[in-house]
Amino acid sequence: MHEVPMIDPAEARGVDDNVVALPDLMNGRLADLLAAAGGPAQEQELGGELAARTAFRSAVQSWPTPRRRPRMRRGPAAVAATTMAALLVASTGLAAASELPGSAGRSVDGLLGSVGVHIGPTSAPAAPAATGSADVEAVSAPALHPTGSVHVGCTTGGTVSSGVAGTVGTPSCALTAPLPVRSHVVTSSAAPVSPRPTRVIPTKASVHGAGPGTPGTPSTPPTTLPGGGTSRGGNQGVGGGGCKGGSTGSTTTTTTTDPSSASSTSTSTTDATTTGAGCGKGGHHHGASGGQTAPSGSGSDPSTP
Amino acid sequence: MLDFRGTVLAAQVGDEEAFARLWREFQPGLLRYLRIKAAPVAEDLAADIWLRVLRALPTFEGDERGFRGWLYTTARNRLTDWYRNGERRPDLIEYSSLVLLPAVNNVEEEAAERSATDEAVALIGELPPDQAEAVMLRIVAGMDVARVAALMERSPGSVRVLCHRGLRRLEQRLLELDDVRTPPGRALAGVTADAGATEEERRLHA
Repeated sequence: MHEVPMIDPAEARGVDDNVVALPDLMNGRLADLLAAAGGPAQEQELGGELAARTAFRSAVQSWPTPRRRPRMRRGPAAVAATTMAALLVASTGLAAASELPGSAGRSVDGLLGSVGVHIGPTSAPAAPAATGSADVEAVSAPALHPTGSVHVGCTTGGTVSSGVAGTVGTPSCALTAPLPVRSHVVTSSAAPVSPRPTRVIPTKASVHGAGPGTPGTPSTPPTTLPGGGTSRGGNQGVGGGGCKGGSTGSTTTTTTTDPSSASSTSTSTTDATTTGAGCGKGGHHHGASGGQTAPSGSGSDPSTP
Repeated sequence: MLDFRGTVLAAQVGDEEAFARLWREFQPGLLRYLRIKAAPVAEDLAADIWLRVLRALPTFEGDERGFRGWLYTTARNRLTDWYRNGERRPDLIEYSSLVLLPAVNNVEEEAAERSATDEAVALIGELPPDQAEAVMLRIVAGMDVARVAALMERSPGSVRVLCHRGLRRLEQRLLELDDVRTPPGRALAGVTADAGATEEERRLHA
């Protein structure tokens, strides 16, 4: 219990009824009374402890199985964007190694070409040793997919079904709806685009949220190019809905190519963290005055080819 | 000092001792709050409130202030149910059992048995309901103005005014009690005895 009254005398100065001064809460009979009212527990007030313990034991029996960390919920757009990024990177590596079949390779080339990443066919130059830094290699650009739509096969629900069978360890998925985010993938172009001139792509990218309540939107993404280097992209958005929440995500992909064996391996790790605050305070079940805290959690969503 | 977070976490995984510590920390304040709102059934309501808390305890996330807010919100909701469901009925006593009731006219004995806490709570309970609740939540429950305002569905300014007026009334009430409890003669006798009054004066004021 509190020994000092919670009301600050200075606080009362702003009260409407400022003609009458606030009583002395620190000295005198009133202070003693308030201290007694908030004083330590009395014996008769703790008489129901046994019953409370019994109730607790009964309640524990009815509780659900041990709590798991709540699954981080991400919007479908964030899931789709993350999956897309992982697939793109994987496809890039495979396309660079020319291991994708013709149609898939063209699709990937088209997709990558829309963002200025051009992967040549089998005539890829010998890759230098991977340095892990900004190694950039320009390649020519193929045409987009004729329909102009994204054809890498991700359902917006985030599930992934096997696509290119037999060739790639990474399952691909079919996109069934346009992405709600401003993605680097082309969704509206209806006509094929002529091959773009080669250009250098920076390897560092940042993704910024589009505003409160909207998912993160990627800007110019870096890519992993043959010969090594890393790709880093992220999604950052600000949650809305009355909660000051945020989500950050990052995808780190490393593709290494062994020049001697003309094969490449690609690993992709996506980390996403969702933090929220301000959705009330103090508790998941909260009183009227914000006894809640926003759910917090962190999780990683690794995706590997 | 209760390690709130650790205690709650332990209770959430079934630690009975942890829950007992939690209960001992919050039960007295809860009971005192309920006594100004529904004195005859304060303990029954408190038990029911804890049952509700236990049901949802595994999913609670927050700090001590949040838990306090949750507890008193649950208490308030339970009180509302108690009022609305007509549970607030006077207990009917059979005439034949009246003879078994103890005498209630010995006010002095009752007053002597009351602790300072009981007396303080009773005095706060004499205030108008809103003032009593505001003072109780602010002082006894230790909640800040914003939380009390949300709980009482009033503005923070209104809560401050209620507390201010409640405290002023309490101060006045204490002065009245001082006047009632201190007969004029007794006070004077004490003064004359200490001041070395004459034998005649002591006889007059004894």
